[in-house]
Amino acid sequence: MATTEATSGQHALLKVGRGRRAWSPAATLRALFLGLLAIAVLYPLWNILAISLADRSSVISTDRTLWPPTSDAYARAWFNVPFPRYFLNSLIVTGTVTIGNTLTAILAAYAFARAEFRGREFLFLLIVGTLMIPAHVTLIPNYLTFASWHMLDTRGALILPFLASGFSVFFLRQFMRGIPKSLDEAARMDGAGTWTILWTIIVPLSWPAIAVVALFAFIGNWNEFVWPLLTTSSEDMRTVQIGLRYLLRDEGEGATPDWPLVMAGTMITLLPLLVAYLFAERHMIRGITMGSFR
Amino acid sequence: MKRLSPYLYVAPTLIVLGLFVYWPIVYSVWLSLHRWDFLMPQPQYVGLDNFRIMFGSDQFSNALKITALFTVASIPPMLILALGVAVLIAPPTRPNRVLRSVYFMPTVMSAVAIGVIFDWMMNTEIGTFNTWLRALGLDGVDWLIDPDLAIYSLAMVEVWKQVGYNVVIYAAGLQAIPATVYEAARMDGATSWQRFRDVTFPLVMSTTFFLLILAVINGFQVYTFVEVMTQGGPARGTEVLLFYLVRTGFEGGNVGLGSAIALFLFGLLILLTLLKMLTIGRKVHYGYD
Repeated sequence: MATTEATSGQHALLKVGRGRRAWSPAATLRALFLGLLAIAVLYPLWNILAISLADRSSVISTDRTLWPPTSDAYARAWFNVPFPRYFLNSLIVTGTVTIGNTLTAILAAYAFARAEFRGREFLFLLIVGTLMIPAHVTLIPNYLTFASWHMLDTRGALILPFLASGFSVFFLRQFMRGIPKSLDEAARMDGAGTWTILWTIIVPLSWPAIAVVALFAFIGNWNEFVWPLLTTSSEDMRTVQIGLRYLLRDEGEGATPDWPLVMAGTMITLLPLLVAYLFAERHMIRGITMGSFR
Repeated sequence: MKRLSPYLYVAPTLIVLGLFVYWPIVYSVWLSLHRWDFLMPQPQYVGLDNFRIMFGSDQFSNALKITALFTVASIPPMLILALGVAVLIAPPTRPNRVLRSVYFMPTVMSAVAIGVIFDWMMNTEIGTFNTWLRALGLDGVDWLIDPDLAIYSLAMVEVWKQVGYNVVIYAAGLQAIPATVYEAARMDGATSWQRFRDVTFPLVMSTTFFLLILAVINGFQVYTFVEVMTQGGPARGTEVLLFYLVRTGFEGGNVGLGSAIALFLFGLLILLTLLKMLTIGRKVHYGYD
């Protein structure tokens, strides 16, 4: 992506903007538009923080005061609601899925990028073809499968279906194909086998792509909602997303949610992602632009 | 051993995808031809009855209509905003990069969390939007309570979540336009509006089509906002297809009919995906030779 940036289109767009006075009416309008839009994105996030730090009773009155802030809601989320339990479940499930999904993708991508074998094109098509299949179509049969394995309401059910994905294999294989074969051959001359070449040459060189794949697996699985909603029934198995959903609206309809508590839960749910985003935003955007043109 | 090893490398992926993606499709087809709820000991073969029931059902046509409304309402604001923003922040300056990462942020946030925030902001009594409206001396709006309005409120949330992704894809599309094209237009004395209308807009047309179909694909799979914010209500006003599927197949226990709905959705989305693949010309088809 970096090379594209340096070459074609952006120069043209830079030139379009060149020579315009910094404070022309057009520039002011532009800044106003972009600024308002940024506020529209950030304001809801600020709202989460503000409400989560507010006093429970003052939030539901129309002339609410959000001052002074109190961390009371966070204490309740942590001690009264089993949010630590949800968080731990999410960490275990998403952690396993991230590592597992990345590993299966590394192995498969390596074979598709390097080995010659019968049925290679067909198998690759089969794997990439899963990108076309919406996950929601598989809900009922997968539910029945796990029911017949007596695995509903277990972490296994939350982990197993996500241990491989067409996107991860496709993305890594594209990257690995760009690594010069001469490196493999040099290693082979030195007596390295296929397995050794993968871990000493291919994987270290594929690091940027592996990071993108792991990141996407992490985000996707941390945010997973429908599957854990349908397969978990006990509170002990809930992930943060499910916990948060029941925090907002428990079985009893009509009750007013405990808003500061809900927002504190939202904050806890979002935190790992926002931290990941802060550090890896550029990789993510690069991965998205590459991945979307599949 | 040498012969076998590539298959061993590919096996874990194939097993997982085979068990949880391909087998479920076959199983769905079988289930859709049977009548079965969790109480019946044996599924009973009923031919295409489930499909007949589905197409004849008012709830199904309602779900289809609601899903289409959601999709159609969210697409124009999403694409127009995204293209406008992408054009404005295309030069890779520092402030533009910061703006881009701000706009992109909702894309990584969980739909549940987003649903929760907007459930608060759209609350009729104490929500942010109505607080603002009242401060301006206007009446509050029943964002999520009015059965005719609720689905559009959810569409607004979808726009909020997806616009940043569309900005990023548009920005990538803009980068692919050769500088010489703009220079030629400038030589001919085109104003910036003319350059947008006659150069940028036609040249990002394939990107627009790609994003349009993607938005339809996403729109037809909306579930979480509905589950979190409105539960399909009020008066089935937000009962989208997936919500109807889950209610039928899981809560109602009608596995056969649920599978029929799933297969209908599957067919629709496959068609759209094939259409999407047609729009991706060779030159942007990343990495293929």
